[in-house]
Amino acid sequence: MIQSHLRRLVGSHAVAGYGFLLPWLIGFFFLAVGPSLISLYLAFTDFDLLTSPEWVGMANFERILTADAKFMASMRVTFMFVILSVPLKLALALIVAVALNKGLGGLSIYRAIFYLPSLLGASVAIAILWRQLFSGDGLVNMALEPFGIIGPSWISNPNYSLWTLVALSVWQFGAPMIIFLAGLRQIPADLYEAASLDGAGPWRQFRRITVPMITPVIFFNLIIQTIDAFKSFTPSFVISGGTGGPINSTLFYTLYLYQEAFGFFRMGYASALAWILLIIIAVFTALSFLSSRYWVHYDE
Amino acid sequence: MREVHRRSFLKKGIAAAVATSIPTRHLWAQEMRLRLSWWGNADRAARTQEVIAAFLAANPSVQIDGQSLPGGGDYWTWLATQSSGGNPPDVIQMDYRYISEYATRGVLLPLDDLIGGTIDLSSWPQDRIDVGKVDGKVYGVSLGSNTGAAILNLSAWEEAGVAAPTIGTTWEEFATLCADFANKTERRRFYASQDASGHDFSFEAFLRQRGKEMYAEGGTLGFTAEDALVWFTYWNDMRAAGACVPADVQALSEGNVDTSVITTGKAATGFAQSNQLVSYQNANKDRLGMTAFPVVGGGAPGQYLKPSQYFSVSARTANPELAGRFLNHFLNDPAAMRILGVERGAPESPDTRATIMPTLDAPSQAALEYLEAIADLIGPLPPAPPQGAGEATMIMKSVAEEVAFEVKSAEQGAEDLVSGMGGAIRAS
Amino acid sequence: MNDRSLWRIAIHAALIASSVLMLYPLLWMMAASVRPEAEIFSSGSLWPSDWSFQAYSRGWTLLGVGFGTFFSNSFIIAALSVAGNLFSCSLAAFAFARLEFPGKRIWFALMLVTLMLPSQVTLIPQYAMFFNLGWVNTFLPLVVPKFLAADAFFIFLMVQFFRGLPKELDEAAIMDGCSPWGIYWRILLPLSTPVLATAAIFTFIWTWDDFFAPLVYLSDIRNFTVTLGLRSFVDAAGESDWGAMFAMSILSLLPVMIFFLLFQKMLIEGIATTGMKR
Repeated sequence: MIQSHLRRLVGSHAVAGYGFLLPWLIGFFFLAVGPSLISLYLAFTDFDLLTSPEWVGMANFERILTADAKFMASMRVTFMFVILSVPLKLALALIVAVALNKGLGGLSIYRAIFYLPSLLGASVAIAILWRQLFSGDGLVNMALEPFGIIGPSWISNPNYSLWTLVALSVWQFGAPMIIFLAGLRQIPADLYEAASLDGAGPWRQFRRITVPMITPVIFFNLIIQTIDAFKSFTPSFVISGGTGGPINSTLFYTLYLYQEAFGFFRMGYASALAWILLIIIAVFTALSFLSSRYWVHYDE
Repeated sequence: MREVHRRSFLKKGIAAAVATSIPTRHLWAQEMRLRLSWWGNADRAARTQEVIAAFLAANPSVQIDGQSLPGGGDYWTWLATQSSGGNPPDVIQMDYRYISEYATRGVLLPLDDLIGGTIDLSSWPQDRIDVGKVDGKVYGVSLGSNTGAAILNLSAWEEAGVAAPTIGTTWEEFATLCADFANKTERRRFYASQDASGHDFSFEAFLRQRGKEMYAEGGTLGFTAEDALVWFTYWNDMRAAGACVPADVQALSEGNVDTSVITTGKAATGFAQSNQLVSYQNANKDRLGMTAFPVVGGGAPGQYLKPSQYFSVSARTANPELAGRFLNHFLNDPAAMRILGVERGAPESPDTRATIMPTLDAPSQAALEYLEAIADLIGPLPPAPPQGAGEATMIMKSVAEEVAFEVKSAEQGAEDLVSGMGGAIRAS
Repeated sequence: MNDRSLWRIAIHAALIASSVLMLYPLLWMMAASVRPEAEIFSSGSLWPSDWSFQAYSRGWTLLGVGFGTFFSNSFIIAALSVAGNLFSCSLAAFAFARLEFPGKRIWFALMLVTLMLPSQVTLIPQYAMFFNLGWVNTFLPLVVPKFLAADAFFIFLMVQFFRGLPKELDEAAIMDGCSPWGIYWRILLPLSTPVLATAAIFTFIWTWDDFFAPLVYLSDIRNFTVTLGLRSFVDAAGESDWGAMFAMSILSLLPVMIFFLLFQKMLIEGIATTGMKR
């Protein structure tokens, strides 16, 4: 029985499978495995980038988990950011994608406009602009003033600064939007026609056809956006000028890791931080995959 | 035993992968070739390339790759990657805060022998050579120096009808002027001063005026929690009087020109460097000027001439002699002096300053004159910042923010500052 | 007026209102590129007090080499990256989505793990490797990884889409004697225009915008990319030419905008428009 199973596998796809995987496998071993193993080794050393690494055993991990206030601060900031930005961004991307999929006039123009913020990335220009929007006498507060609200300096007040980064992340919803759009395009139009004939309204069609049909794409966006949010670096780096301030309120995990590695010459410690992050992300991803059995439908 | 073997094997593996590539270096050694890297804007790049071109014209067998890089954190990440990956440039533009980090880790070549021979610094005062010393050896030659300066929005001070601070104004007088300004100015959400409680150079000047130092010899802190408490209390009082910007306005500033409270139009006084006045003026519609940092009445001179950058030479360079010859040309060739001007700060050699003075434009001349005008307030050079000074600076900014946002009392902040900064320079 | 057209008007109104939010930064950047430098940091308004297009000509030549060179370098790198990603990632994705072979689940999991390690800690080992290969100061470290499917994001993206295509297609093709390659090339790829266009758009834009890899690997200014050139206008400690920076930023957006507009047409050609029935 095992033999026939094997024969079927080998006979059908084993050779072809590895053939198709070959470019990726080469890249995987040279570009990913090698550097990753080196960083794993470095996580157990004291390495200042410029002189030879010194083996220190578990010392880095011990210090991170027991005596590092900045690690705790950056964890809190990062988890907050993931929890706030991922659902908001995905919801906005899905709503806009569905709205744009309705076959309205001027579609391609809207698509381009909505993708525009993502084109701008987190550049120096965005950093300057974000200050002018969210500072004490910025445009946001000017807009609130007629309603009698005197807003704080959102971007530089430790109680609100993280929200301005969440706003930046949500505002740049272009990538998941495009992926949703591509997914919506794979839904056969006749399904909607049949539903219309049965008298289903837009909301019912959305719930009964659109969402179930694009669960693989929702799943993909959820995984990718979660991983990206955990690894998010540039918004905080650019907007806080690399400090994660004020008072560590925007200290993303990877920004802290970067400070340790390149600001303070502690690459060993930073590598340990990186592997802790990898384990956290891996747990989240594994949980998502487990849950996907119950809500993601593939055509198989 | 086996444990040890495995470790040393791994270490060699990493050293091979992470550190070096010997064959490539030997290939380069055959040619007379230098790689030269600096950070800065397009103006600096143009001036530097012009000097390189002149040097090459005089030395046809040589090749120099000049590389202009974006400044700030990008440059240091880039340099760490190049150095760690085994490919550092031969001549490296270095910063005051990083020179001991790189020198003590063996990246830089001691220049003492070259300074005796190829590089002629005979016209330099000895203490200006010593600014490049780490642990008794010279690891960088200063390309120019500057000192702290209070940038003033003269238009705003005049509008308010309050006399702007001048050279010799004490901290107490400054506080009074600022409180007066707060009462009289008609500008909305506009304050007399930056909140400098987290600004390392202002604090350092204040400490030196009190007879202390930021860092003492031997890599320890040169001040106590008491000093820090006086400092934090001063700025708490300023904030309470509306004499300096509130905490959430100060937190917008990243310590550079474009985010400073002067440029964003929030305050009439900002604490910066003497060579930055031109940049500040270009980004501002109002008329600006500068003066010295306030002083402690009857105190010691607090400011000092800080090298704005050095050229250092890589310990791995195949052509130390050529690097030395280039540095000598860069510093001592009259044509090079005139091309470079004071773009990298005031030249260290009095001869050089005299040579270029007539060729400078008005703002550059003003920068040099400012250094002479405040000569009495300029003290001796402090001990070189120890390893970990960069991290300590960041801790200072963060603790000052905690005090300003009233997360911590001034007393608590002062204690945390001493333990935090002390820990940072010990840990490294 | 019936419900349906009311609904449409409501959607249009909402879209137009949010478009303003999306466009504001671009308009502000355009204003910054023509307004006096002293106004850039103190004004959030869109209307410059004074207009000058001088920053464009100044910026174009300021770095000596000229932005034309930077544009062509960026274009070469981005175009090769698009080709590399489409080729290598679709191959791997086909294997993961459609073929059965031993070890598949493990490889798939490992592929996902490569998405999770922060690049900051693999940077130096990778740099050392490329340096020892003699690839530093060439485009190779930026382009070759794309041909080796180093960006697992695109593999995962394509896997999700391939899995959404009806499996009966493969089965029918096998009955007709089609090889795996035939299924990939003649059946799957033609039906995957939306996801391939998506991957092309993202690869182009992300490569075009990438700053750090070019900074680390390209040292000769003649090899610089546009983003690298843009950063060279800015000196954190000293005087920066902001006007020129914004002018060139606007210009550098043009190619990505054009690329986006060209390829987004393909997004809407898919199963829905080929009239496929399940």
